[in-house]
Amino acid sequence: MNAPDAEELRPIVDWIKSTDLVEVAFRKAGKGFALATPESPVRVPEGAPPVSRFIPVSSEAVGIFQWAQPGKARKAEEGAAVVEGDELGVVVSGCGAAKPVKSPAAGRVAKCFAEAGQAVEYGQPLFLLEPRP
Amino acid sequence: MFKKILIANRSEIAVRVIRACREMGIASVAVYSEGDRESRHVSMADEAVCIGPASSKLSYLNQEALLTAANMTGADAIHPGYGFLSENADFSELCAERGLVFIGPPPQASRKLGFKSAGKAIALQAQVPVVPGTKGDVAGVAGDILNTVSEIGYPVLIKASAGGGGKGMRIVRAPGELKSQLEAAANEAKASFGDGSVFIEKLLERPRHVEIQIAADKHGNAVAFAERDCTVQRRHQKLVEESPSPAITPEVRRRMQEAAIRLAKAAGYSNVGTVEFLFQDGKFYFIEVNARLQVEHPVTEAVAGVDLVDLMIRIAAGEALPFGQERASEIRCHAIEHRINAEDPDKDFMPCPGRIESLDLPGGAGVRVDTHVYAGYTIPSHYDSLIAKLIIAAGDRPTTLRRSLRALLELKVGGIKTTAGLHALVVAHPVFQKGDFDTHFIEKTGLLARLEAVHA
Repeated sequence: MNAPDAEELRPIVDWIKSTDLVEVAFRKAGKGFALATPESPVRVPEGAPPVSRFIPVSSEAVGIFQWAQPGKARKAEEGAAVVEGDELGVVVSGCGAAKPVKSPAAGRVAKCFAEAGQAVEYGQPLFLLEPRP
Repeated sequence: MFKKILIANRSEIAVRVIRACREMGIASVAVYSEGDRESRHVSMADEAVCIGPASSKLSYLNQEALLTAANMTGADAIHPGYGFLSENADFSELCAERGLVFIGPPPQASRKLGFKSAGKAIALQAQVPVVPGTKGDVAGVAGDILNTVSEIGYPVLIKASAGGGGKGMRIVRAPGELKSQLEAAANEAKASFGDGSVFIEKLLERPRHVEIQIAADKHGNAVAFAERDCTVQRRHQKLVEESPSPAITPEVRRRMQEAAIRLAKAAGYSNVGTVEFLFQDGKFYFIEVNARLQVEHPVTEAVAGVDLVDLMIRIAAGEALPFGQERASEIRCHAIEHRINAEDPDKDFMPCPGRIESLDLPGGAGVRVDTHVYAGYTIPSHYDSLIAKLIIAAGDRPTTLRRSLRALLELKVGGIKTTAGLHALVVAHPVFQKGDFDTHFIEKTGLLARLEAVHA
């Protein structure tokens, strides 16, 4: 069996799209092909950690997320450049203590997950940071 | 009644409290450390909040994280379970300051009873018998020390007032040895602690550990349930608990219950608690109060036909006890609890964390299993090794013991070592079956050596 070309696969691809399948593999006599939709989970080779250019920045406390200490300006806009140790936000516990969320590296804030006033738990990702290479 | 309860604990006891909440129509909030993400209490609760890393100090003992989680989720009460913050009067006060009801005794009562010495003072005041001895230093004994000790009764134990760890401790069996042993103990105490003062206490050589479950409401009512016998211990850790005790007569039971109620009232106690006694030669002696729910509470639930967690929640919400002493002291069946630990009996009971590959839990009539584990669950290494409690109930003691053996053999935990085999040996042992034993049961019967032989 030769590798099918894209046109030959078109009906199969259309059929997959009509279902909730994310991956289809066909194999016969040791040969075959596999199709995956864009929604399919990223395949990770066994033993190797997934490689990402982003670092998640998580909450180190239970509390209410705020962009900054009272009276201070918000730093962590999406796309903003930050340096290591910059305060991206704070998590305020019930007694009023504010635990800073610090940038672990210099780079760019790629994504903000939390909103001001949101209750967050320990270990909850608050930002994705794209470190400067 | 409360609308939402946060359970400041983990493992089987968190599961136990969530179940009570659900039956009462109360929403539950589980808290968990990063090491407990897979625990059943997390998936069972209506909500779950991660409060910290695996270390207990930074999670289950992190008072601020717990209080913030409670406020954030809109909980109106906190159930502390056992261990962790359950007997921490400061935490219970903090709860009140933050508008949360602590489901347990009032802080002033747990302070009064929390320390052994303080508890003993209240016991004396409430005319609850304590282990007889000199009230303070021997030096302070008026008159002849020989007479005083004769009143206490031989054998006696000389202990260093400043002491601990067995230093300055002497056993005296006859009046002739007293003076020389007192001198020796005082010298050793002086050398070890820089303080030579010693006191004398009656030595109980064959005691049983018998405890009384109490419940008291905020309106001055208190009841006491039938005793639990926790005599079978290994290194002061309870192994098997049963109720009623094969050694306690109805008359002694009644006197113990009355003593426990007097103590509760003298301390201004409310909610559930346990008064622990040593029992020997028909006499009982107060040791301490556990001002919280205990691991072995299901034994009493089976015997009396009550739900103690439900009762705790109602008492904390201000309700009056729904029954009186006559109902509380009912003995509806015999019950026994086996604490199954993930420990390797062949390696001196070393904790044995790891993945549970397969799990067959016992069932059938009279068998209750309280657990947070399941097949595929990995036991974290950060916490104690209790993985399940088997609570067995039947009409009488012989039937309960047969049922226990049956259930213990049904229990199969694949992938890790457990103490289930040791429990089967205890239950099958003629001395245990006869019911005549003391806290040295494990050593005296040589069961651990037998266990090694079984495993070899």
